[in-house]
Amino acid sequence: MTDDTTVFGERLVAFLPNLRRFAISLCRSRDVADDLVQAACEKAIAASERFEEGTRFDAWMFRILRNLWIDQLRRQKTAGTTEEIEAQPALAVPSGEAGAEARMALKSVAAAIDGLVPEQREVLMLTCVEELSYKEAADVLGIPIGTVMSRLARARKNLAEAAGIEPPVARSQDMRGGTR
Amino acid sequence: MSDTEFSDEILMAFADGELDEETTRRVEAALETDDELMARVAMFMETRAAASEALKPVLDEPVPDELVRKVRAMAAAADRANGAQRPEAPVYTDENVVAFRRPADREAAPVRSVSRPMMAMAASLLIVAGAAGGYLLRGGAFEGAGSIEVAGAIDARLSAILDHSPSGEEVPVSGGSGTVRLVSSFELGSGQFCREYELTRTGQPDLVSVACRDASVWQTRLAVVRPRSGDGYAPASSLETMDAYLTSIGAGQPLDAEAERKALAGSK
Repeated sequence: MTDDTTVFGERLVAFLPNLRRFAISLCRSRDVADDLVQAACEKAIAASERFEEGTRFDAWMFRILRNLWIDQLRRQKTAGTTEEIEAQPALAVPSGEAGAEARMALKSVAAAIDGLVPEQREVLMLTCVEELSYKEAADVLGIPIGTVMSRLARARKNLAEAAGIEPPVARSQDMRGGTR
Repeated sequence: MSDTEFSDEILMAFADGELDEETTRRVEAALETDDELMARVAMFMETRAAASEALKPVLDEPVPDELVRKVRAMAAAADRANGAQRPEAPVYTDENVVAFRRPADREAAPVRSVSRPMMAMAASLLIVAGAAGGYLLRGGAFEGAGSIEVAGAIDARLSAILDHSPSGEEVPVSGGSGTVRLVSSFELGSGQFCREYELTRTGQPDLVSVACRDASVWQTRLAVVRPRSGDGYAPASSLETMDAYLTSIGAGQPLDAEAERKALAGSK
């Protein structure tokens, strides 16, 4: 008398804010993101038996969602639609009012994240925002850990530069063997 | 010794706590004397914090009702399709609260009045409680040998922990892959003895739970699950929900160590 799917459904519902945030960062549109989230949930519910307890539920969901997104992108391409959904940064424009003043500085960080290339943005989202480990992020993205790390390092340098976070001490790109 | 022996990836892994011990020690040693290296590490620390902070507001946006409804509907449909026979369907209120068996004590306020203050904070919470007879929370951690059942009647192992472990203690469970941390003990107006505890398991959302003892049988009254809680997730609201619930059932102040010891000693 377990109530498996319903409990699973509630687990999903509880996770929706995070899932949606990741989706928004991928799609850069709230409407598209919500559809994507719904599709991912549908898929997850259908595959709920395959979720291995003891592994991270969030990583599992992110992977499902991202795979769907990649599929959609592929379909769009092959369908020849050049519809650009990335008209404007999505993360940087919270749908609600909110204390915009207080967030001015942070907003620019959000805008800078929006401005990253997709590969860097997604790896940054998964690790720094959703707090997956490198390994978990690698699994979600289906790439080697080394690639996660190099992308992530680049993403953060770009972010720091774009958002003016701690301007890295002026230094030449390569000091190898240099004396100081 | 120049910092250039450390690549960005290494310093980033250091900042993220993902570096192996030996290299960590080397980086730490180098950091003591190298400000520039420190600046590089700081950049990675700060970008992480800034990214996390900047995107927090997105989490606070209300999830569209329609989306929540659809997810529930899909789950329910899948449930029916599976022919999952359930003696007693859980009742969902607007606030994502699963109705649970009324405590035996009469002080208990109706669930509805509890849920009101929870409403604002419920978005990212899942509240599970045992229906009559209890149903298991889905998941390996709750199933099979060596598992712990939280909802409904509590299994012997967890019962023993609740009977004997003082608050503040952490008890490993599920073969070391989980921990039960006893938070507090208190009594209801009726004198019924209750305990709040946290259950942490690898790969599982943390669970904060209240169980009360009824004639030496522990019953879960409320378990609050939240998504993995890194710093930015569902800030404290699970605990606020818990507090609202405790207030509603007439929970007294947490017992002090001495009073708790007495209550626990009376266990057997």
